[in-house]
Amino acid sequence: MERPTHDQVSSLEHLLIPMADDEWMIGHRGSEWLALAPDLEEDLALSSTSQDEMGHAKLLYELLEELGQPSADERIFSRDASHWHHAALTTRPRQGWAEWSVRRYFYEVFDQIRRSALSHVPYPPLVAALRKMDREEVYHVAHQRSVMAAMAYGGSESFGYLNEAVADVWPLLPDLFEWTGPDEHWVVWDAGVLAPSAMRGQFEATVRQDFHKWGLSWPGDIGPARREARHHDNSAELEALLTEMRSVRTIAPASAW
Amino acid sequence: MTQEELWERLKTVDDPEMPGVSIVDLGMVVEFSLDGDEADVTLKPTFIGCPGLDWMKMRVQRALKPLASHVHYDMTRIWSQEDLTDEGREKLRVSGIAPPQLHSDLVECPMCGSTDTHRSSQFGSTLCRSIFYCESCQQPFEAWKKV
Repeated sequence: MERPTHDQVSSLEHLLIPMADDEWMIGHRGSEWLALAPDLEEDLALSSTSQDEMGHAKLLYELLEELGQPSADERIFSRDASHWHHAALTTRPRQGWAEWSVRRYFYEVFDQIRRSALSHVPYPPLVAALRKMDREEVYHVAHQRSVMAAMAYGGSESFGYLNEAVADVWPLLPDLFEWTGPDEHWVVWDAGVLAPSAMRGQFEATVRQDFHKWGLSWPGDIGPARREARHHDNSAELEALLTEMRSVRTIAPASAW
Repeated sequence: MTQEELWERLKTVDDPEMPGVSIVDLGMVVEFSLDGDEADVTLKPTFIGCPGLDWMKMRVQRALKPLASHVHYDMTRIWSQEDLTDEGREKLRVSGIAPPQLHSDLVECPMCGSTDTHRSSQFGSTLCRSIFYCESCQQPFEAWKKV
């Protein structure tokens, strides 16, 4: 493929920024659990998966940088809160362990479906990046399923926590399937799998199968996304997150990372 | 500096998370070229989010001095266990990290050689390792994660 056209670059940005922001934020929130996880294995898992996700985010920002877009550092350290486009599910402040585990399970299932859909975009550097990410992400999905299974089969107390967490996280799901900007941004690639409705269908089928296995009842249709999906204007919660995330950088702006 | 000397110097750059195991042992060097006083080196990461990447880049530049070197990572280039050299696999084993078997899913204990082992954690102390337990010598150990 020749150098992407102006429209294609714009489309790539609208597809990849939400993904990169999701990866960055879930990695950031995951890192906040370090030393707080219930056992050592989970602590190790969080350390590895969070580093993986942040590495993937950086790689996606760099793909855009090669096309003349801002650098990863600019995106992460200088971008205004109103220009972040992660799904709300990735940044909810830390609550309980079951809530986080369920949120993370949904995210990993969704992320796998999204990577597979994006691999139909005929831009070779993106396809190569997704292929390399897949090799690492396989471990993430498998691990989150094992955490869910442990709660499902761990007795009535853990099953209760699991049920509660599913009901709590369920309303956050619809926003995942939204891209920013109008549909033309993904239509330009002529790949139907990029349609939010297609991804939603695959996600529902996968989760239904898992829920059946774990004895969880289906909470009902995943509703429509909010009007402000993936937009965070005037969010005090995001401002607080960014301030903390950038605090070391603010103290020593010239330091090497 | 000759091509051979340059290659020898690359062998002195270790992975900071595995002292004694070099970027050449790990099969991270994609290509290099030498043009007078300048060298170009392309590396590939084992794992995308590896925190040692910048450090290794800096150490390559230092190892190649007084050459002016341009070192960069091809971040999307696939790394797999096939890239480990035989020497690298042996060095991993000696440092207590089971190297991945290429044609089998068995994991051999780096201490006693038994394959009566099981994985106790998918994730280990670095991105590239899992934790195993040897039923034969009853020791925990780390193994390189297959990708």
